[in-house]
Amino acid sequence: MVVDHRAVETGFAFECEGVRESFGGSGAEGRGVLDVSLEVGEGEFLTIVGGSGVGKTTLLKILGGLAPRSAGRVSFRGRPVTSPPEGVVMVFQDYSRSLLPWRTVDHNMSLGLEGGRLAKPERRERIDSALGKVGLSDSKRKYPWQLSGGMQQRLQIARALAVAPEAFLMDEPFGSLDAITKATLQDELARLHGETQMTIVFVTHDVEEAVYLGDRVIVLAGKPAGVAREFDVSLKRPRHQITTREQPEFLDLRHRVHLALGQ
Amino acid sequence: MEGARQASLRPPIGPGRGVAAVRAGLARINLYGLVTLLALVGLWQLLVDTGVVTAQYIVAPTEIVSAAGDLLSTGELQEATVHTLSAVLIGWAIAMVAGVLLGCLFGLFRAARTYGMSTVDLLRSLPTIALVPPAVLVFGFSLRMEVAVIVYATLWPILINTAGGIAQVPRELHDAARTLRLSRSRTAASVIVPAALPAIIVGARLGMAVAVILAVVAEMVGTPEGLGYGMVFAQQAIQPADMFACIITIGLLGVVLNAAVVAVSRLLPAVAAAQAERERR
Repeated sequence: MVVDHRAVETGFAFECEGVRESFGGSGAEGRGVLDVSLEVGEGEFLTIVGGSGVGKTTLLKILGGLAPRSAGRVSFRGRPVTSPPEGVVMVFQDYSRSLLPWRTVDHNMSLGLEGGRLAKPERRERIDSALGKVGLSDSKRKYPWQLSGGMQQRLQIARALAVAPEAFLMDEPFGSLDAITKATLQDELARLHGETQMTIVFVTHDVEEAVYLGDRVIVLAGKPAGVAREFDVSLKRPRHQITTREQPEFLDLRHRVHLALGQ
Repeated sequence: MEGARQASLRPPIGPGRGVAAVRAGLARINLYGLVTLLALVGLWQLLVDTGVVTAQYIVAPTEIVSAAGDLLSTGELQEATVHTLSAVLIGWAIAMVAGVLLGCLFGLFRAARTYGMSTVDLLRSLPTIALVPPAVLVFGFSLRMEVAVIVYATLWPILINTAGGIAQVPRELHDAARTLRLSRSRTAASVIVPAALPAIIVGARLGMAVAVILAVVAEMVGTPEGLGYGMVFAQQAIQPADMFACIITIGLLGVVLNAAVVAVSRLLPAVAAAQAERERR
């Protein structure tokens, strides 16, 4: 493997400097105007909170090379991002629209590996291991519409895992799940992060989720929207849905993030 | 709840799918609707028999059935049906290939839309029936003329629905393909076109209906063969029962062809999945 010296030097996965996006278009997201500078460390779990229409999704898409920017520099491990970088996968909120309904779980999994250089047995192994990590090994032959919402989102996460990414960009991935499923998936994601040491940038409008999951929380606000506040989260891992959420530090952070959001 | 939901699901693809499709097709036949139809036919018969309707050329269903029986015994009805059916199928098949290819071109490439869509909009607005006389001049009173007219008329609904189906593929699917770093050609082949298949099938069904109409018109005006010609011939010979027999055969042909497209399309995984998703809602 080629060692990227600059990445070693800075220790940042993503670097984002003066990134602007000014839309001429319409729609709720379209009115948001961004002006963001931030860094994401290697292996960091960064959560970004902000109100709706502030440009969270756009920022994430810019990091993932899925949306153009009007100005500024974005790099992943020192390399400028112009198209989706290798090793970076985005996970979308709308799982039902992101999966292929005509493919079984197994064939949805192989989507990211098709046309790649992987030999068949290795592909098989990747798929099985990723499905195992999200607990979908028994549903290989099912179709996405035969799965519950939580299972579909697990499938989308597993499909992203199968390409062996170094970073996940997650756009409110648990936003349309019920509270119980959401809590379970939060813990699974935290465990996955612990196991893989992946870099995760996680966008949400749920303040508690941001504090519960993140190593650091960024509040995106203002006009143009930028990094309004940053909070380091030193809650120890593994975190626990009940006890962590009762800790004074959790409650204090929750309080301060809400204030920063102007709520 | 999960278990209950899954127990009622049929596999959309895989072994047994053909049998399941036939069974599902039969289950879809609306018996009550059929009763209404039969009652209407009975009413028609009654009105003619009791002399409420005395128009000379409105014949009773029984007369049409016996006329159809005569036409079947001489083989005329079969011959005419085979001719019309071949014209429809040849024309529709050519239009499918051309329409889906052009529709993909327009759907996938902005440049094709920019340069070509105005031409398509202009050409498809021409009333195709008005093109039958010039088609007769160019191709003569032949099957080729008929097929040419059918292809022209059938192409547009297929092309428009294909291009439209591709345009309506959700943003998320494009983004998912991009973030997984699929090549453009693989994205088109594995994601975009399959996602547009249900819309393409809608175009195929509309096209089939248009193809039957144009075949009949072309035979009425031009080709001296087929059900359209048989209908006009019976009318000029003042044989209303024969005429109605042709009309009803044309109607049945349309119903059967539509059902055939639907049945075959359900064998496509993308269409079966879309159907299964709809049924679950």
